[in-house]
Amino acid sequence: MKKKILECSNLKKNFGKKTVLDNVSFSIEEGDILGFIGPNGAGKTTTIKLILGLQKITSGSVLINGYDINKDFVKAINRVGAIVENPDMYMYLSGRENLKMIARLYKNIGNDKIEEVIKISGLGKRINDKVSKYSLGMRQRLGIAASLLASPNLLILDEPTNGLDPEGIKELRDLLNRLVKEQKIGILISSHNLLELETICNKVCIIQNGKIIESSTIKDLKERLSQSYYVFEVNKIKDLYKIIDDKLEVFDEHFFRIKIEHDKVPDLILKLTSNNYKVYQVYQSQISLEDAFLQKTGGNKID
Amino acid sequence: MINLIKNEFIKIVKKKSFIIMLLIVSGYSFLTNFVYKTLFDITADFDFEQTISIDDKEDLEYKVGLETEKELKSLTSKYDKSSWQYNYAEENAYDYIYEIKSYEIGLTDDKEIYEQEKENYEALKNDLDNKDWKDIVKEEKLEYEKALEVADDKEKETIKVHIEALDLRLEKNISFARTEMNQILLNYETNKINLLEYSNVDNLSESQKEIYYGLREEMLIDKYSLDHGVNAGESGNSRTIFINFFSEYSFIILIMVFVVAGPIMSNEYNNGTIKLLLTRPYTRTKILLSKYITVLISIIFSILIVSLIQLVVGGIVLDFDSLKIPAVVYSSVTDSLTTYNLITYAGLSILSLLPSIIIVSTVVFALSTLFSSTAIATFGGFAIYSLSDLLYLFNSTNKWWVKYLWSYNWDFTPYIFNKAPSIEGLNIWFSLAVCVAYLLIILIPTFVLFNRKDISNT
Repeated sequence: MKKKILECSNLKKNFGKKTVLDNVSFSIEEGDILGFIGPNGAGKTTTIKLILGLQKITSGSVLINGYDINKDFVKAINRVGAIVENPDMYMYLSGRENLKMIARLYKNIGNDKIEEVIKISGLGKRINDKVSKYSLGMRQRLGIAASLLASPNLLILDEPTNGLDPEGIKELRDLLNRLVKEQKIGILISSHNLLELETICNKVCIIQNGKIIESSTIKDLKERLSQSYYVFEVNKIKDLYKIIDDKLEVFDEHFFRIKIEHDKVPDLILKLTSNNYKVYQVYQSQISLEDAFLQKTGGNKID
Repeated sequence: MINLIKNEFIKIVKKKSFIIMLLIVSGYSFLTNFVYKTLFDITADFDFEQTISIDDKEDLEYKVGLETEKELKSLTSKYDKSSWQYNYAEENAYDYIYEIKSYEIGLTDDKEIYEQEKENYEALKNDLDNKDWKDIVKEEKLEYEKALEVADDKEKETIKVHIEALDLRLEKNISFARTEMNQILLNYETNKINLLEYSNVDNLSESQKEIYYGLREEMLIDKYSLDHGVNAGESGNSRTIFINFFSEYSFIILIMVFVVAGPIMSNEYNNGTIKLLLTRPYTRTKILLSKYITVLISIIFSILIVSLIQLVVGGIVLDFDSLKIPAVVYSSVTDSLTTYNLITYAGLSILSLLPSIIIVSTVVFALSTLFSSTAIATFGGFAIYSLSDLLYLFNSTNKWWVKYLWSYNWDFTPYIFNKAPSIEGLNIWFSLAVCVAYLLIILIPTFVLFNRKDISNT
């Protein structure tokens, strides 16, 4: 059995009388990259802050490598690297100085390690510039480098793709995949950029209004949600409803989508052609994680 | 923990505001010294005699005055301004000439006095040209000794002071010339004569006591100056500015407290870097403690730097020589002077200000931690500081709680320089206990609340 790195059980957080998180449970094992998804205000950042001990847990518990974050903070946090909200750094210091400051707070982080994460960051000579001169993407790179300094086995990245260009996102994806494979770490990653998460994560957790509404592997989720959608290209859409009883979704004058079983597809093609419709192509719909997410949450609403 | 503190130092030193503050303080120090220098030069150049305007008024008394001035001027013009003759003539010839001119112009008609004064005047002129000032001193001393035999008790005391002054003049080789030392000697004599009025100290009222101790202080410092051949009471040299720096420029220290302690926590909150700090393997207590220690050390460090700046700038703009003269501190408790070399004096002054600096810094630090706002922190620190002056008004009331107010306990100057405490009955241990109590009252809730604090979402 794989080792559990992070285990959140029944997390609850109240701000005054308002409950912002309720009964949030999930876990991360070695090799997991968990995508933490939810609309604005759903409680993603709050959950991350509870895990990191930045906010106090109303009830429930967070165990990191078996240590309770409340009772055994120093041991629990020792092997965690994190970016919370924004890659906030000391703007008046250079990138390298920022890294050195963090390195100083751990035992046994030598210059080799600093050089190693600088290399990973891809900042090159700009590492010696003041952070105030960095773009958001550069700060994000520095933040990721900083979070790797302590050789963490739990990496928590809050919106790490923010401000990264497509090249940067690809690099990040490769980096994270390499990390989980080579160093047996677990990663929690939250993002608004759902398309990006789809290609990075193996597990997904969807949170809405402070509650987990979906928790499974990416593969399962996509299969479950996109099971039986087929897209048809036809010469015309007009009066289709007269011959098809099932509910269909019309995209434009030539495309529509329908939810039918795999076996029924030939019958439908036959039915269409016999009614003088021309069928140019039929394919199974590849639903994106974003669509799955929107279906699940009913749109990007904040209640 | 040491690494945490090291990081905090880097943050403070690398921040622009700290460097700018030091630059402003240096600039301020330069300006202060420059103003003193300019003022001093203007005063030195001022020619008092030019202020006498000549006017043809038909008033006899006025005319006598005018003629006297003219005659005096023609007498003194024979001598160099820096000679003893010049100053001696100016101080002693006026009365003779006035009487002579009064008779000549017709304001008085007592020929006997006229003859007498004329004789005196001629004698004086003769003395100036043919005698050494030491002979004059000896003659004066003989006259006083003669007078001593016929004087009553009260007059005797005064005469003794005059004789002492003349002895000092001979002993220290101070001629009548208009020099610093001559002026100090005259002040010494005057202060000592004034002090004769206060024979029984215990019967004096508070305000009289103040005057009495003020005179004693001046007199003792004059005596010190005469004994050591230095001017320990001079204002406008770099030494005095440096000595007064700690009492008169405490607002500079206050500003440094605000610059260092005000933003130390609130900036971390406002820039989001608090998350960077609190997700490290250190308890919040250790993190906050390291910040607190950093605040205290860097404030003391800043004070040392600023003192050094003052010392160097003062030396460059004004003079380095006066810095060799020790600081002379009067204690009304022992009614005596203690001397410290300037470095020791600076150290002790900082030490005596330290309790107040620490308390204000702690208030600013606590508010910065609890409210994440530099403005609130600065205002709070300022309020505590200025309130302390206001609370001094309770000085004269006999309320039991007055002695527990910080105002009376956080200045250790009386204890370190052996002066009377701000209110009777206070001692160093009591004040220390009160200060520690204040610190605990501020710090304990700060640490408890910080440990419970939720780092809010931005």
